[in-house]
Amino acid sequence: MNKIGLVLARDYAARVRKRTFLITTLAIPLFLIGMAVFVSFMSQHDGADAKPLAVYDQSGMFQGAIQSAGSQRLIFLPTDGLEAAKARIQTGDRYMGLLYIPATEPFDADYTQDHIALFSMKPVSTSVTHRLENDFNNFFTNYKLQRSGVTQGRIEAARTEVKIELKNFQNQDTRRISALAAPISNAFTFLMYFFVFVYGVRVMRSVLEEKLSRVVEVVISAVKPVQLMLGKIFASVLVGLTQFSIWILLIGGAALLFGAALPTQSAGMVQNAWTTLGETNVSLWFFAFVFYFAFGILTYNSIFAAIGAAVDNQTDTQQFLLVVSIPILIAIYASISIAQNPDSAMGFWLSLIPLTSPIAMMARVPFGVPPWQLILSMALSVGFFFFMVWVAARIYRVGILMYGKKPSWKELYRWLKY
Amino acid sequence: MSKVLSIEHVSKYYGAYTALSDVSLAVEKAQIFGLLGPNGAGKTSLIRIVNQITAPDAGSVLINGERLRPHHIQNVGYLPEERGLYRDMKVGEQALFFARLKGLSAAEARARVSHWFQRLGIQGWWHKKVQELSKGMAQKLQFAIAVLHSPALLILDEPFSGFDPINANRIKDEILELRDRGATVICSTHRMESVEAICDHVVLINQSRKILDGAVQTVKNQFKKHVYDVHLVPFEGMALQALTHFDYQERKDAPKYSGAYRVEVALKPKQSPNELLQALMQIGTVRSFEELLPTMDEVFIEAVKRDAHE
Repeated sequence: MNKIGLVLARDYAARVRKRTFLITTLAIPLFLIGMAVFVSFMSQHDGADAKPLAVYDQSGMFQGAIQSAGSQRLIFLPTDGLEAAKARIQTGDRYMGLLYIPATEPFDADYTQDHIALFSMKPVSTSVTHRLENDFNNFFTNYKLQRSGVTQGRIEAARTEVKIELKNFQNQDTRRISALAAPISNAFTFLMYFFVFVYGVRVMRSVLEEKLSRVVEVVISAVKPVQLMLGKIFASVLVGLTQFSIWILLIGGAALLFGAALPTQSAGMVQNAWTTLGETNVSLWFFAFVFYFAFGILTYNSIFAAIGAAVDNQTDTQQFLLVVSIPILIAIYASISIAQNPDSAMGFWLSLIPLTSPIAMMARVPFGVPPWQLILSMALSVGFFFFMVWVAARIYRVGILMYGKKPSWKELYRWLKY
Repeated sequence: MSKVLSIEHVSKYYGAYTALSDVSLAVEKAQIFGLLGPNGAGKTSLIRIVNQITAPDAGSVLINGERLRPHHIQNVGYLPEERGLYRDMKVGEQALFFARLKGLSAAEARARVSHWFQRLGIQGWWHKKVQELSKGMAQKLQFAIAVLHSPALLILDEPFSGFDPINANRIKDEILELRDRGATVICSTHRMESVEAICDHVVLINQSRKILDGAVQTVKNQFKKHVYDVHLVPFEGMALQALTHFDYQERKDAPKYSGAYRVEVALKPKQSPNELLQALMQIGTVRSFEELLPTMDEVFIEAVKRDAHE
């Protein structure tokens, strides 16, 4: 155990003293903040720079009525001939398409509503068509009610928007919690991916370097290969926790330093988020994060360490990396839909399978997970970690001394039985 | 003398490839033991087994009469042929790390590292990174790492490669001193001149089998060709032709001066050196008479050739 500690201490010191550690520790939060600002900016300006939609309104009744079609700009054309308008739209590149609203004399709402058409060179996004359809629905409902003698005032008075209060049995507002859970779920997903994959690849490279520089021969003449491997992967977990702790400290420090300088509205939002966070089971989130963080890194790092030991150049790692990436990618893509529907069958199964659970379960945890599922998932993670260490150690101890050829999957299997 | 290391009928296989086949040898205490053999003969496999990096598939390894156990590794020092150092680690930290891995306490490790760094004249490199060192400098550090825990058994794989003659000599003196202080040294090398200079005993492995085992002088005697180097000044009117019964030839590398000969005489079966000496004394004054023993280089080549023909 003492030797695992010595290897751990050496690897930990070597990693945290590297300039790349300092750079990534500082650059990643800045990158994330930059990304958040960029996404928020882009979503606010969504569609503003898109091409406008030309409207050929034969009835002349819709100008103003459908101006609110989201952020899609509408330009009403003079009604001097539909075919000429179509030709103009097709030859130029100014408009995304032509919205045609037919009319009869006198105006027949039933006819018009069934014959509205949108002509375009490329398919128009469903969000634009939904918003347009919504505007038209409002218009025709209003129009028909007015024709039946209902005044505009009565229509406005009858317009209702129900907002169901979402509460849990502790009477807490779960709508606010849900609103907070989604971004936190996304953040957990990203952090898990980052630590599991990036740290895993680092361990793989470090093992490969030790093998190529032959330093491993000197080291394993003093420690068992499994001790060397465990020392390295435990060091990786500690480096990850150090990096994560520094981020927490940086965020806390930034909040203290700049909190007072925030505009009142933003400060209010932060305060609300903080209050909502207090209403959630934050200690469980934190515990789950540290648990899956540790076991995710440990399990994947042992796989990556075995890959580093099995090959003797970077290029040969590719075929194995591809296979290891598959469960990680599945978990990443699935976590997008898990954040929409945390208790789906996919969310359930992926949060139990040990290779996907560190990412999938952390996408679910902010929304609440039945305790038995969490306990089962954690137990499976621990069991799988020990199994994986056993497998990886057997591959590691043979592979670390093999040079000159790329092992096949069959050979790796044979090494397990040596 | 007590046996520090006994290898008994050891075999090692990698799949269908035989790395060692029924190899047995014994290394005495305070001996410098030469482990020789062409590339790929199986020397490194044997060294890895003694270092417990791998285990034999058959046979046994005994250290001081006990079966090889993990704790024995604390008493083994290893200098690998292809140097193994962490390139981005500082020299001092690296030596301390390996000393601790070999079981020394932190304080003891620091004291030993300082001692060996001073002894080898590398104290000033403590804060340098290994990647800043030349090959020879890295080699010195690696040597210090191999010996700083005072191992009873020291395994040196090509200990002189990368050194200039001055430093090679320094390391040779250190090895001899370690031997004199009771350490047993196994030295695997291709440099036969260093084998002659330091080894007491040699084993030659070829194609996974041991083909030669003995004290350096005994091995040389086994391979000698009964050739004598003679420096002779003939009497007046006498010439070398008088040596008709012997197979001789003048040495081309000998300095020529009037009236003296330097010849190599190869004895035929049943001829004795005394017979040759008597014949020489009949024809002139014998200035020197020395039996030519093969160099270790010649022994090595001859032994491998004979093994190939068997």
